[in-house]
Amino acid sequence: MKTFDYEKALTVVDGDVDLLKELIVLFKEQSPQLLAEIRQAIETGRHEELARAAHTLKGSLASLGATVACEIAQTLETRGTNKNSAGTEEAFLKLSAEIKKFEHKTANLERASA
Amino acid sequence: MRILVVDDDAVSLKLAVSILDKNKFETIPKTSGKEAINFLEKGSQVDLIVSDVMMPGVDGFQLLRFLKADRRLKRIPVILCTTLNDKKSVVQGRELGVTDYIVKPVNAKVLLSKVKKALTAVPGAVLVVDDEELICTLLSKIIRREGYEVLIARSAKEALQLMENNKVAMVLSDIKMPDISGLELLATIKKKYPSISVLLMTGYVGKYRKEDVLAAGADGYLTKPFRNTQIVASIEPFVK
Repeated sequence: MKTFDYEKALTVVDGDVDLLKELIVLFKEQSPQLLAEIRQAIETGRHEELARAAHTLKGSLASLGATVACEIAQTLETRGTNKNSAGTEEAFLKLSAEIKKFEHKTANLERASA
Repeated sequence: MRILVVDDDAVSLKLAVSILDKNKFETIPKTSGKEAINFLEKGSQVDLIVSDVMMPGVDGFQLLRFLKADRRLKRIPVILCTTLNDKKSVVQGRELGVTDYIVKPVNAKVLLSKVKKALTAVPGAVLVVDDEELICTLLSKIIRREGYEVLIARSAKEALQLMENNKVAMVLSDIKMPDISGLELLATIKKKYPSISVLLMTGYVGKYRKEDVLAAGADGYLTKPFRNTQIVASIEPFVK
């Protein structure tokens, strides 16, 4: 698993690097909102909300080749679905940090398009 | 070809829409099942729907159920996007009449090949041929209401022209028309397009008898005046 699996991301867009860049920009706009929703759902113990927000974020991460973050989002989704709060706070912190790493790794890709 | 794309995740939605746009499809993006339903309820026509399964509010299955319960919309092919570990969705979707599945993350090649495949499965139009305008309008209304596409030709010549450029599933033609008759049209179609079914209709029961028309190669025979239900029952076996 990689923080940013470039090959995987390229397969998704069939080699269209410009499209990949656009998707990453869009992700950066969207992710703070989804992360906030996840954090709130964990804090207030709303499992369904946690499952939904983690699922949506997982969809984005999977498309962008963020395989590590995708896996953590999956864990959070499963916790939400099973109404199990164990380790969700820790997983959330890991997810936030991993997304930061992903955004850092993809920053060059973006700059190249500017 | 117009494709309605539904996903609550902005990245997944943009990805699918960009790939389809790049390949010359017309796309209509919607961010929720509810939005998609509102759009379709306004009478908007689409050739295909690509939708995420898990969405807040109206999910992919509820969208599918809504489509299948509406006779105008029930024949639109639907591709659902789901995650790999979601076997339950596959079973449920199949029961609800889903056309195909894509496992997320959607990748460009898979999306395009599945979209193309689903679109070839779209039934062709019912071609109505009659020199009487009133009959054409009436038949078109009855058949469209059932969710089929309808093409209208006012002569056999026009019908053959339309068949050159359109996907036609079957032909419903009057027999007695000026210039080329329905029987001559039947012969031409059976020679040129042997797989297309032709139903002939007539108001002159004495002149064109059922056995003669069927013997000439027609796939069905209808007499005028007809009832709505009769028309629907007669064409249904031929438009798959």
